[in-house]
Amino acid sequence: MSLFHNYQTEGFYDEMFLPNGSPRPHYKQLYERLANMPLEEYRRRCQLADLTLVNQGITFLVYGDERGTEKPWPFDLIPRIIPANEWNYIERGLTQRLTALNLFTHDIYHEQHILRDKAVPADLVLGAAHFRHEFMGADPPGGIYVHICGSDLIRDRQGSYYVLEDNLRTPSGVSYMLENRIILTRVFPHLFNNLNIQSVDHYTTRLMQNLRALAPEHRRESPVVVLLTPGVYNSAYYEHTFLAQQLGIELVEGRDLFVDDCVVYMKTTHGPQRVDVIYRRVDDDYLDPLMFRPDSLLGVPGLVNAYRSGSVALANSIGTGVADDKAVYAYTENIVRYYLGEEPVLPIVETYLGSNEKHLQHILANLDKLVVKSANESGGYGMLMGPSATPQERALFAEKIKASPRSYIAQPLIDISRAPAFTEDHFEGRHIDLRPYILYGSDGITIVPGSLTRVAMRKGSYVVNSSQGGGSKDTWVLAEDTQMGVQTQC
Amino acid sequence: MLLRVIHTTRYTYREQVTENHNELRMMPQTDQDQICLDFRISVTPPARVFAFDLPEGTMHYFNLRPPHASLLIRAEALVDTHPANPFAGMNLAEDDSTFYQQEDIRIEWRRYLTASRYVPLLPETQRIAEMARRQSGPGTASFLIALTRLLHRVMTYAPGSTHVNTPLREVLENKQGVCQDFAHLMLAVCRLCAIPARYRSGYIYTGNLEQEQSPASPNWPWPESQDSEQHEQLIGGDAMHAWVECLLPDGKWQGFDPTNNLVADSHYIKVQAGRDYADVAPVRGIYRGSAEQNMETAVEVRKEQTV
Repeated sequence: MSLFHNYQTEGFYDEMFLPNGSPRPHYKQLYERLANMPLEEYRRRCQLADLTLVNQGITFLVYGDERGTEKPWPFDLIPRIIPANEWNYIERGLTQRLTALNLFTHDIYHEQHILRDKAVPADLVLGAAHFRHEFMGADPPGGIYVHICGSDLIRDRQGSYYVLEDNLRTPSGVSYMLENRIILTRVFPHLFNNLNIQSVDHYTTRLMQNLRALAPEHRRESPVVVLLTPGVYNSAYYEHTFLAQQLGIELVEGRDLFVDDCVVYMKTTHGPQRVDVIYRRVDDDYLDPLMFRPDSLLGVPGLVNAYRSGSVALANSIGTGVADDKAVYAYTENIVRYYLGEEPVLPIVETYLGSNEKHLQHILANLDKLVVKSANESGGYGMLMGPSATPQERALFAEKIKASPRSYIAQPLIDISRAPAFTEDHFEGRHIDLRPYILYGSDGITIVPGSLTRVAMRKGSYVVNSSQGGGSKDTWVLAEDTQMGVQTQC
Repeated sequence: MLLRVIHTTRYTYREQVTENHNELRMMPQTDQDQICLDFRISVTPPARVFAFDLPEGTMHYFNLRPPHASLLIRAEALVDTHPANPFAGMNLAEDDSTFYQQEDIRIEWRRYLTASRYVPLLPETQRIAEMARRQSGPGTASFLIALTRLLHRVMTYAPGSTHVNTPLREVLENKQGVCQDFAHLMLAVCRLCAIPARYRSGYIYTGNLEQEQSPASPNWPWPESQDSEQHEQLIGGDAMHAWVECLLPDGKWQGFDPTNNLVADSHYIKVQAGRDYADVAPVRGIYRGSAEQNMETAVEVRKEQTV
């Protein structure tokens, strides 16, 4: 019996199958290879993949989970395939978006034209938790604030793409994009035959080029780049070790660095070594106890002043969270129009703001239809899935919203697209999203043709965050000259 | 008036400390009211001092890595103060409250209209605003003068009665504090009344006051109340001082000093302005070592005849 026997799309947009049950053209070849595979064979490959994951120590950490600090990251073997024309569209949309968001961040920390012109409410921006007044007037190298961005995209029932959020502070997950490809190639080498899949492995080369270019001019010949991690208890610690190794740079914690006369040094067995660029995976608040949180032991005292002096570069810069605030998100289409004079390529999801009196009434009256999110949290924490919540949960959340309206936004529940995932002995549709990684360097924006596709592994669940029980898939972006038919919709 | 400021701060640590990083916010600003002619910072043990221009003013920064048991910071400034007569532009008689209702003003000065770390917008302060309103004319300046006087009258200046983290609510209940508390309380009232108000750190010259201020202020707004209070020794001369600046409808930021019941004039040397003390603390530091330390600070402000 085929592994796809009795597979149902159930009215959702399915990445692999048309509503009539036949595979979409760009999935046809994959379908034929998998459909006839015996169950035992498929299971064997799953075990092989699991073993590889465990051997490589690919894990992540779930805060508040007592079962232990690290978990293997569930990996679903069926890749998600994106045809070239769809990818081109995504690439255009995200390039436009990051260009505009960077201009926005620069403007907010300088003249604030957009606030004076009232294209975005000033209250919302200047009251955002991640707005850093101390950085008004500061100029990061090349005027670039966001060097690494991970944007989350979803598709609705019609298959249209929407940007759900941008992660402009310390986006994580890119190691899974790279690792998933390595594992799948190992477990299913033949799947890749005859398919024109674009490679993703130049991501780290590109990132390293960009990081090196941030070094102060007189140090650019052979700059010292390090990756600053909060340490082993951070949920993305595995990724930090992976990236440091791939980039060929030191993985350091705050205690491994010190600042003397506005220069950052790394403690080494050969004595102090000057540091020029810090790829930091530590949030603003924990960077420098002198600046932000005197109680924090994670940071490096004096780091912010060293950055101000220009002796060291940070990626990403400080204060970028002002542009990925979930309330500011509601205005990102305006932001694109304002700075670029163009219509946004990629739409966003309709968003209601707790800070707006009319919106607030709408949110409170429609809690059973909306998804409510905390404006300042990430990783799926502090969120209410209205349609599936109990009346008590909704009532409790309503109180929270009323107590602090500025802290919440709400969106209609989008019936996000699904893709087949393996469950015990057959495939079933599971909801997925898409997180491409965008690099902004001195010579422009690069998006490596690949992504992290996150899967809500629990049946019916819409929450794909790894911290909430999500898994992932390898994501194949097909090249233009692929021999497979590409679908024209989108 | 040509004023010289010598501000020394000495830290003595119980044990030797290392990795001592400090940010200093002590340099008088230069604007239309004053010129900072000279400014020097010296640190003992010696350290290289860096200067950064930040939104609140110039910040000096240094670090000391080797072990040390004490730290002396000496800042010396020479400032020429020459503000226009503060009362000349003040509108006391006309209701100018519409100025503060403009959306542009609310957006531009949002930072000085909302609660901040040390300035919660306590509803109790509404009563203080109402009292001041009853004692003043319709103009905003008149209200602010009345508020300055009211706070001076009801609050007791009591050094040592509060510390930097004493909540404003407690200050309000006990009705006592130091210049920081007076300033924070006045900020809370002003912001609740939608008047943009900021915390001003600086120095005050306390010598020869009554001789000099009276002729310079022909429109002294409360001649009937210029009683013995005015002749008391001014407070704030032996340490860094704090007062409040409010945006007046003519677009000027005017200083009001509730600790001394005065409107800022040529005796006042402006250093930095921020939302509250946290933004402009004269020394912010962090070091590695025992938390036990002793701080002594001394400020001398004297009048100079010539540069």
